[in-house]
Amino acid sequence: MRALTDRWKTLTLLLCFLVLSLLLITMKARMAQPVAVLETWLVAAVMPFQQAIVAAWRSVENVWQGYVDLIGVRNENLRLRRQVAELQAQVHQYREAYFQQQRLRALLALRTEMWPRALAAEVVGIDPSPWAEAVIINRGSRHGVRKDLAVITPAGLVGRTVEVAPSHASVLLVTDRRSAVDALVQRTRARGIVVGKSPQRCELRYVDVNEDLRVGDAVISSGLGQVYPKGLLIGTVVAVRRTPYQLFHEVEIQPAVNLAKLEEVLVLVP
Amino acid sequence: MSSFLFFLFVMLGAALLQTSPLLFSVGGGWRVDLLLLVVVYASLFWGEQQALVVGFCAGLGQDALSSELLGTHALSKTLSAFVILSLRRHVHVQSLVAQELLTLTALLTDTAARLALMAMVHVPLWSLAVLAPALLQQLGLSVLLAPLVCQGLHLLTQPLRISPKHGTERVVT
Repeated sequence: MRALTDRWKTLTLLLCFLVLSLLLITMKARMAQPVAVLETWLVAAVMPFQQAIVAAWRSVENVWQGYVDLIGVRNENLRLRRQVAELQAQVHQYREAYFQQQRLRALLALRTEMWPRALAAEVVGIDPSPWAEAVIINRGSRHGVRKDLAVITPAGLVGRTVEVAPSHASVLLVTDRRSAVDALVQRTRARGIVVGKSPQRCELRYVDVNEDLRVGDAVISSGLGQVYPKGLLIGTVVAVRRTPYQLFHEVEIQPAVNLAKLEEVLVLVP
Repeated sequence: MSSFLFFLFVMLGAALLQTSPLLFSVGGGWRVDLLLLVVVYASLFWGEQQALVVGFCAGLGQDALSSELLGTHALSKTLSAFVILSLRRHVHVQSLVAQELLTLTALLTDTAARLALMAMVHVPLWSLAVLAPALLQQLGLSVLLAPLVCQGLHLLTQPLRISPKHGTERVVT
């Protein structure tokens, strides 16, 4: 009898959760406010921990690299061990600072020249869904970020903001299957739409078969759609397939940005 | 410490690890659903209602942190928990083979449920050529990690003096 009651309880709970999940999906699809509040609250609760862990880890990494180099130096010259260790640690710090400064300078130059109100942001997390190609940045509505803003690096287009919390935002990468960017082939001005094809590749769709396309052609944003400004480099053509009796080319694109190694980005606040 | 707090911290830890750019990366990098492994552990060794609550909450947390539709993972993980709960009565859950097989079943249930939901709400899907390798990689990693996660969480419960209220059996150390 007890087992039967437990079974009924479990089934009732399962049914409640399934109905609640479907309700949430429907509310989210209709962009209901309470759902957005729940998401914002959870992101705001978790991401500061993530940010702290990333910062701590990077510090430990610097120290570890210094230590590894120190072992080599010790074997080579015991007398100069302490001095070399100090210098090595400093060199590593300066090197990291130099690279960071180079990246930030490039971002700043881009920002000053083209988008004076653009926001520099750091990637602090990745999307926990294994199929989603998205990252989390440490800038949110408090800093002026809102939904559907283009995100770039000096190398080219990264994606657009899709979820915004007070101090963090999710950026959907151009390689995600849900991403679509109206695009132009720079050389021929042929128009198409760049959509995510796989975690490392995009696809340029709806390009007329009569258009001249070549491997190596640069693909840029067309400016249509109110999200991405015109002229942002999306990637380069790596394969063009012409299938007989098809209306459109099958075009594969390599994104201009190495999305697996994103660290700092620029959010284009209009 | 109550089991509620225990699972809250475990889920928070799994979510932090899973969103960490230091361990995983986008762009074809290695990805594994650690929250699903926590759900598998709860479904194998804890009470039925507790496991369902863990499944739902873990999924909801993952949804909130993810750019996917809110509720998708909540539903798929609740279903995965239920499938394991239904199967665990027929197997010896202490067996490593059983743990591996039930992890595979949970991952396949989770994947199938999410694919079905995405198709229902017209979210674009990856092509089979992209999905298949990603799924295989996830299966491999999950199978490797599942016993470690179960063992690790079991070891954690010992000093905290908490144990399943209605669970079937405990993992043997």
